[in-house]
Order: sequence, then C-alpha cells, then structure tokens
Amino acid sequence: MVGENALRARLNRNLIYIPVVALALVMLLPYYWMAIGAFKPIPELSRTPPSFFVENPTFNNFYDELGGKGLPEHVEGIFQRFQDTSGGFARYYLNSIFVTVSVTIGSLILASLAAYILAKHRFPGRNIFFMLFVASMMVPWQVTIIPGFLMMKEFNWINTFTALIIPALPKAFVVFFLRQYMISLPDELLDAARIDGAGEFRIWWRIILPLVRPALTAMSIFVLLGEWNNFMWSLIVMQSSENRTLPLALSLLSSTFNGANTMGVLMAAALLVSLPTLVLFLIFQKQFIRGIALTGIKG
Amino acid sequence: MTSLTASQLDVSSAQATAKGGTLFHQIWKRRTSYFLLTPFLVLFLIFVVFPIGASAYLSLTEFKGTKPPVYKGFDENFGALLALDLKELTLAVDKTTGEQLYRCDRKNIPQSQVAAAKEAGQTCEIAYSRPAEVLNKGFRELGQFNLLGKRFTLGVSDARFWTALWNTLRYSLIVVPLGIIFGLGLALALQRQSSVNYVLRTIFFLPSVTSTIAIATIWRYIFSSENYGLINGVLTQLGIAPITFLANPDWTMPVLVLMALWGGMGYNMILFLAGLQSISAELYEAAAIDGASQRQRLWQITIPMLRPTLLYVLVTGTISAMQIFDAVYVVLGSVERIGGVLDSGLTVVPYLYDTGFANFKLGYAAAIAWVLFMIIFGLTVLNLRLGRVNEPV
Repeated sequence: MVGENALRARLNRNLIYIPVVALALVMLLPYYWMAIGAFKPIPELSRTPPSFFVENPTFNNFYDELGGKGLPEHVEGIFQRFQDTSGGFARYYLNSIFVTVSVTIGSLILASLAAYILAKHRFPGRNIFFMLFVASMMVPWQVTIIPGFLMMKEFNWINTFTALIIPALPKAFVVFFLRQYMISLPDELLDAARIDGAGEFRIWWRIILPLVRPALTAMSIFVLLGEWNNFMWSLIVMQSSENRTLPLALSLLSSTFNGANTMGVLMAAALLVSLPTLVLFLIFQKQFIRGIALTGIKG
Repeated sequence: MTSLTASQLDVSSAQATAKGGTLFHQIWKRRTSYFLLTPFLVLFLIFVVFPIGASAYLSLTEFKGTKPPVYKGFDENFGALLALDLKELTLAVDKTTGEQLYRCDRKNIPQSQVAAAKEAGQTCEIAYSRPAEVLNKGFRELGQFNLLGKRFTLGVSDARFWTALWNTLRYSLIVVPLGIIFGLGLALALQRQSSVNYVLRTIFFLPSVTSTIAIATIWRYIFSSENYGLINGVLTQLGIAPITFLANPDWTMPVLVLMALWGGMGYNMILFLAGLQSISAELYEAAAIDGASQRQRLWQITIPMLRPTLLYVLVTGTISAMQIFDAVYVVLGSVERIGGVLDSGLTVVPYLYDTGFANFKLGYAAAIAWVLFMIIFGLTVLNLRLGRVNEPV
C-alpha cells in the first residue's frame, strides 16, 4: 500500500515535467527565433512558411558589404545603419555602457553613504529623513516625469548624458535596502575603529562597505538591469541622435522597419542589445538569483 | 517587507534629543552626520521631492509648454479627466409623425413597419434617442445600461483616458493573478534541488535579465501580420487564415497579456522559491506523520506559510502592471498611434506620454500621473487589506 503510494507520488512528480518542459520550450522560442533571425540571409527571412533552421548562416545582418547599393537580397547591416551618427550602433553601445556603469557606481556610492549615516548615526531629524525616503518609494516615478523634463530643459541638459545620469542617482530604495542590512552590524566594531582614530568616511569605506558586500551586489544588479533597460526617461530627454542609448536605437529601428528583408537586421540588433545582461547573468547566476530573492524588486 | 519596515521604523532618535543642550547645539555636534548625508539628500530633494511637489502644482494648472503655467484649480485638469455625465435616454420618436421608433438591424423604423421587418427575419428593439442629444457638450458616450426599466447613458469628457484606465485595470486584473499562479506552480514544480531543475529555473528567469525593448521587438516580429511572422507563418501552413494580431483590436490585449506572462512568471517563481525555502521542513514531516495528503499539505501548510511572499508579489506585481509602457510603445505603437488600433492597447502611462510629450498638454499630463498614483495607492491599500498583514504570520 505504502509502496504503491510512493510510486504514484513519484510518477506524479515526473508527470509534472511534461507541461513544465513544454512551457520552458515556449520560453526559449523567442530567443531561438531572435538568434536564427539574426543569422538568416534575406531569402530565408522572407520564406513562407518561415524556416526553423538557418541553412546558410550569414553575418550580413550585422555588416553587409553589398548592402545599401540597391542590390536585391542585400540590405545594410546593423553597423551600417544610423549614418547620422559617427560610429552608429557601436557608439550607442558605448553610450549605454557608459550611462549604466556611471549610474550604478554613482548611485551605490551615494546611497551606501546615506544608508550608513541613517543606520549607525544618531542625530536630530534622522527619522524624518528616513520616513521621507520611504514615503517617496510609494510614489510612482511617472509622477515626476513632467517636472523632471522641464527641469532638464531649464538646466540645458536635454540630449546630454547628464540628463540620464544625475537624476537617476538618488535612489531611495537602495538607501532603504542597504540601511536594513547595515543596521544589524555590531556597533562595537565601529567604536573600535573610532578609538583607533578612523574618521567616519574611512569607517564607511573600509569597514561598512566590505561587510555589506552581498547587499551591494544585489543592489548593483538591481540598478544595472534597470538602467540598461531604461527606456521611457531616455525617450523623453534624448532627442538627438548621437547620445542615444541602445533601447532608444532599437525602438527606433523597430518602428521604422517593416518587411521581411529588414527583420534580420532587427534581430541582430535585439541580440546585441540583450547579450550583455544575458552574459552577465549566466556568469553571475547565483548572485543574480540571490539578489532578486533578497530585494524582490524588479528593475 | 512591510513588516520589516514597520519594525525598523521606530528605531528611536529620542536618545539624541534627550541628552540635553539646545537643538542647535545638538545639530552642531552631529555636523559630520549631516555633512555625509548631504550628497544624497541634496540630489534627492532636487530630483525626487521637488518634482513631486512641482507635479502636484502643475496638475492644477493649464500648461501647454509655450507659455508659463496658469493656475486654474482642481477642476481644470482633474475635472476634465474624471468628469462623468449620467443621463436618462428618452424613447426615440419620429419627428414628423410622433410615432415610436424601433431599431431593426442598425436602422430606425417607425412602429408601423416593425411587423414587416420582423417577418423579414430582422430583430427589433425599442429605439432610444441619440446619446449626443442628452449628454453635456463635449461629452462622449462610454456605454449604455438599463436600470429599473429605464435606459441610461454614461458619458465622459475624456474618453481616451477612460479607455486607457479600463485597459490598464483589465490588463492588471488578468496578468497579476495569472502571473502568481504560473510563478507559484513553477516554484512548486521546480523546488527540489537537482541539475534539471536548475537549468529549467534558469530558462524561466531569462526574460527578467533581457532588455525589455529587445523582447518587445522580437514579439513584434513573431506576431507580425505577414506570413514571415512566426505565428502567422505556421497558421498559414496549417491552412488557417493569418491573424492580424497587432492591427486587430480584439487581439492587442491578449498579446500584451501573453508577453507579460512570458516575461514575468520566472521572476515570480524566484520569489516563491525563496519563500518556499523559508518554510521549515519539520512542518511537512509533522504533517506526513499525521497522514496529511499532498493536497492538504499544499493548502494547509505551503500556501498559508507563503502568505507574505504572495502578498508581496500581489502588491508589487499590481504596481508594475499598472505602469506598463515599453511593450505598448514598441509592439503596438507604430501600427497607428500609441496604444494600437482604436486605442485597444492604450494604457495609462502611454496615454500620459502621449498627452505630455506628443500633445504638450503638460498640466493635464501631470494630472494623469496623479490619478495613476491615487489608483495605485488605492489598489495597494486594498491588496494589503486582502492580505490582512496585521495578522501574525
């Protein structure tokens, strides 16, 4: 009786894999479709019904020497697009990396310093500041979008990286999260350092930050993903061509392209845009998963 | 998360003030603290607090971007956004004969001809006057309904806003529960530590680390109306007529929902997996000794113990679903205008964007943002109530 039950339970457990694996294949389908689309030559792109395998893989969707000359079966590859900008798509890549890295480092430094003060210093008004930070997290950021845009115009920051970086630096959630983490650190440690003559700045940098590294990692991932994907704000403050970030460039292509011929270029672009975070994820998988589970906030 | 905040909030600064000396003296003594807090605080005040306040002010003004904002008060934008007009519809009569009209197959005919029309197989019902005749000027009909034997029409002054709001709520109401069900299901299915499960979890999590615009671009290609699109290519192969997914009002919402589920369930799964790990194995062992079935264990132990996670996913999931923008902009945006054909995929944030940055009604757009905030706030309170956070877990 017991044996039968156990057998049935095991069977049930394995049966569940049928829908789960089917679902996993659905998950992978768009990635597969993107990957093969990026390497399909034009005849295969416009084939109906569409083919699920690439017969003659090509890099033409990235760079086609014969593209843009009016030849059939040849269009300009992704790196030949955006002729209005020197460097084209490659430049947007650098733009995105620059903005993402700047915001990630900058916001973490600022937030961790503020978090340390709020967690370990006692001073009048501390709770008021903390409550202010927490309260601001309740307000959807779209509320600030109209004044934010007007401020950027007033500061003459429109079309500059400054508009993408500076307003993105104060992140209340990061302060909140790091503070919760720091509050559990023993005060004795800090007192000992003070007796040894360490200044507050030094304590923060040399003692606190190394101790909260898991939290810092989690927050860097959170900020990094959010900034790499940042779209709506960039759309509003970045109207010039040369300082575009990748999501902007991609959405522009997506809205102007039509027809099977250009889908390969679009997929090549999508592949290039999604690759950095995917590679980072596959390398630092444990940290990503732990970070998300820890923060539970989507970028 | 919420319980955490509540308990941490009351870390008192009372000691600091109790130690004597004037407030100024105490502040001076703690100048290092303020000094080190300043960099973050200044940026926070400039780029978060000030814009929130400014936005509140702008929402009460008429502001088209060219001339400075003019203060008009609550009615200017919020009034126009939210105004409803409920009117009773009168029966329609023929203007010359005074005869009651009937509506048969989209045409109004007098009563005397109804019998003939019915014989011709048409369905007839009593006709009412046109809503435009009774509604206030500038109002458009949102819908009609019968109540207590009378016919009413509901008009609104900003029909696009109500469409956007309705779409957003509809979308959230489907995406959030389905996302929870799928996420929880996956977490339960893949909670055992094994290499197969590890690979599967990774696969489900991939969309969470993929550029949203890239994903939207791929979906646009997959749902493309032409035969080269993946789905329509396959449908054509099967002898089914291609479906214009992105140009058909009936399909825009399902497409958005599908994309959101595909993109979000792995993320929920990770949260639920973390929640499942925190449930003590002893509970299950005790239940097994008591002879509890698998189903009982799920409903009596797992689900109740997961309540904080469930609540958290519900609250944050609703908040982010209400703010959907990228997918609408990229997947539907270029078909006609933002929000897809006939605004069938228009949601609140894209409408805000359209109002503020395509039509330059900046004050009006600020008001939309505040309405969004209020709705999100209300839904969050409602969700927390439903989850009864005050009950000990």
